[in-house]
Amino acid sequence: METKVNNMQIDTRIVGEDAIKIAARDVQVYYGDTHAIKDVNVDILDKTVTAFIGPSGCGKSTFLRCLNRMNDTISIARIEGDIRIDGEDIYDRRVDPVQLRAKVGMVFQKPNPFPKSIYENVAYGPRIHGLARTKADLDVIVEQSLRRAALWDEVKDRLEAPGTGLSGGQQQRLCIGRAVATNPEILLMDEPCSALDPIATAQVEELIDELRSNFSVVIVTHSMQQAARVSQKTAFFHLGHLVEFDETSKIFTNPEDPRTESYITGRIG
Amino acid sequence: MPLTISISIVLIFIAVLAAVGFVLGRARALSVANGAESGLHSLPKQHGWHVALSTAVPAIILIALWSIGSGIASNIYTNSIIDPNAPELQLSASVTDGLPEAEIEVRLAAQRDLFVASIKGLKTAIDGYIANGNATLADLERWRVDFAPLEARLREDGQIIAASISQNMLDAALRLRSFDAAVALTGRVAAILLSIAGFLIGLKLITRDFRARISVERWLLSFLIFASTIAVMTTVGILSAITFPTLAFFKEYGLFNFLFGMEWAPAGDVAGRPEGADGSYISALGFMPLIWGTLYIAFVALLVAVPLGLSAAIYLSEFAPSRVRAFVKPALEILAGIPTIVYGIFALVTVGPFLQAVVGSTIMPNTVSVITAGVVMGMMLVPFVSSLSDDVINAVPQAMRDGSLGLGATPAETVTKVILPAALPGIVGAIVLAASRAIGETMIVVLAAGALSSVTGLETNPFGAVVTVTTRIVAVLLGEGSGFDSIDVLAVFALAFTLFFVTLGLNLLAQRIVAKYREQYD
Ligand SMILES: Nc1ncnc2c1ncn2[C@@H]1O[C@H](COP(=O)(O)OP(=O)(O)O)[C@@H](O)[C@H]1O
Ligand SMILES: [Mg+2]
Repeated sequence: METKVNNMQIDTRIVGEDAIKIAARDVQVYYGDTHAIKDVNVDILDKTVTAFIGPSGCGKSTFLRCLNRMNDTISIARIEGDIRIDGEDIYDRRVDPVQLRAKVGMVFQKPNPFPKSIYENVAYGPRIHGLARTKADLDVIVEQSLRRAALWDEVKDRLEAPGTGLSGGQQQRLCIGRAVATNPEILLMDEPCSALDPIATAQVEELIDELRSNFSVVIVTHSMQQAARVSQKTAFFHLGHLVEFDETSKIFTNPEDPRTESYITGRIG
Repeated sequence: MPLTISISIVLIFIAVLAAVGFVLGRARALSVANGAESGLHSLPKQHGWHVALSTAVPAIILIALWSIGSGIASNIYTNSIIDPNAPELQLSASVTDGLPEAEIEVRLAAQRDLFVASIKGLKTAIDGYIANGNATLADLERWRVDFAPLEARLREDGQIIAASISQNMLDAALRLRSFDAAVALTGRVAAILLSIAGFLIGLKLITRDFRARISVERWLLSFLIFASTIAVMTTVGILSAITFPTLAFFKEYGLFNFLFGMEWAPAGDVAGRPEGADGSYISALGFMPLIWGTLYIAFVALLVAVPLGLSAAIYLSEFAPSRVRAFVKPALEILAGIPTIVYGIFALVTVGPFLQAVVGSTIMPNTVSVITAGVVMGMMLVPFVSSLSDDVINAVPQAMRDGSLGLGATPAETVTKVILPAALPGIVGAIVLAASRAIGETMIVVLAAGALSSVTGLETNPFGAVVTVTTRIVAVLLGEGSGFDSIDVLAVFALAFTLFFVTLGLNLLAQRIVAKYREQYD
């Protein structure tokens, strides 16, 4: 599967400052009568990559979508509990989900560039949030974002070409660049590599590691190797519960909970 | 007395034989298998079907082909027995006087066609007369036109006779009658023999290894291919039926005169005779005023339908709660199911008078006008535009919405900046289809656009009455005094032909646009 040789060796990276970026308390999510997230408590650190792992349907995406209130767009979804970003309750009435989403960017499972030019894809967010006064400002933002997404060199000569014409890996990096362009503080990624080939996956993983210096990154992944490679913290979800949350190295070498252990050794799938 | 077998008896015979074939085939398959069904290649049932199909299908195909062929044969036969010197084929000097040679040729050919048609009509009438039990076959031998007023007797019996009957006509009709009877009898006997042959061969073919399953599949496949061919052939048939008169019209009136003529004034039943020396026609048959009226109304209709329909589609697909959607979507579809004549009445009795009351009768002398027809046609098209646009908007992947909302765009920004641009080609396709419907629409314009029988030039006042292509087709065919062979009627074929190509072109265009748009997400 992966091109990178992986021997499940966990680098013990130094985890950034221990500033808590997102604090979730007693979060419940219901889809109609389905109780999809149960009593989740978690503190996500700034300048850190946090991985969510767990079997399919355990609620990883659902919880991730709580963090930028994307669940608001699903009419039957109902959220209870308390989620704070930088100490501010994001479900407070006064918080505009639209502004929140500029601050908490999201990258989806399948690359979803708009059917517009590469330039327009990146400029979309800054335009709607009024981040650039002049065309020159916008050019700067676009270039900067594409550089951060490690895509600039590949596309700088064809910014007017359609974004949908790029390869899958390039499209996903374009989507990352698009998310970065609104100047977010947090980046949420829902299985960002599951539709990519191994080479593109490696490029995106490398990018995620670089993004850590500027953002708090939360990534949902099905690949435990990927979680081990890119994250410093790992949360294991099972049947809507957050079973275990700890340093990635700890989760993969010495998990506390028997369910975590059976999952990472492949007994729960 | 000649033998006759009615077609229904033949069909019943074939059906019964096929049913027997099914039962026998199944039984024979079972006996061949010696009770061990698993030894057979195909199920006993399939063997039964195979026998039934080989009994019925070739015979029925023969009957169908025979009936087409015998029609053609009786035409040829009729033409061959007509005496070329028969007085019915001649034109009187008063008619030919002053006509050019080519025109006389055309008239003679028409005269001949008419005579052939009369013979066939008389033959049908006699058939009906006998079937009603008014005469025996023996009587036929003694019939003469003047023997008793034959025409009066036939009419009294309810038979339809177009021309007055002459002795030549009667003789030909009687000969045609016996010819047709012989052809029909041969065909029916052949069909019965063919079904018996199919029955026997089908039964004989049954062995342990016979692949009845595959044969039955083939029969089924051929049937499906046949059914789809019929649809295509119908289109071809319609097209050829309007093409020949159209070409005749273009030849006669001039393509250029037709397409760019600014006046529409069919003269009635003058049969397109050039008026005097300068060779110009009494009928003015210019296309321009008609297509102008048609496009003008279609434009107004789109002006109404596109904004309303598109907004409804956006609301329904992007904003409406599911409860509202569940109610409004079917309601719109019901609107789409209202017959257009109802819209026409609505336009005539409600919208027209209302508009006239609002703008005053100096601007709007009649209740019928471009606006009246256009607005109501627009209403009619709203559900059409909205349901097509709804489809294309829904086809924009959810990932586009998520992507945009995830970047902090509002739902309205998402619609205007991402969804509509992405759906635009599909929406354009929907609009083009709506335009093509507007152009071909008949009932509303017949009632609400105006019924001027002649126009010159292009009406620009939107509150003025216009004529359209479809209304003129209706008017001329419902006979504002035109004979069916007149140039006016030929012109109608040209109108239908042109209309066909305009709407065909629009539909092809729409299809191309929509297909291109589909590729984008595949
Ligand atoms: N839009 C939705 N409507 C109803 N139920 C949903 C919806 N999305 C997710 N669910 C349910 O919530 C549970 C968690 O789903 P999800 O968060 O997508 O799991 P994961 O991402 O871990 O595979 C599943 O049981 C799923 O069926
Ligand atoms: Mg998921």
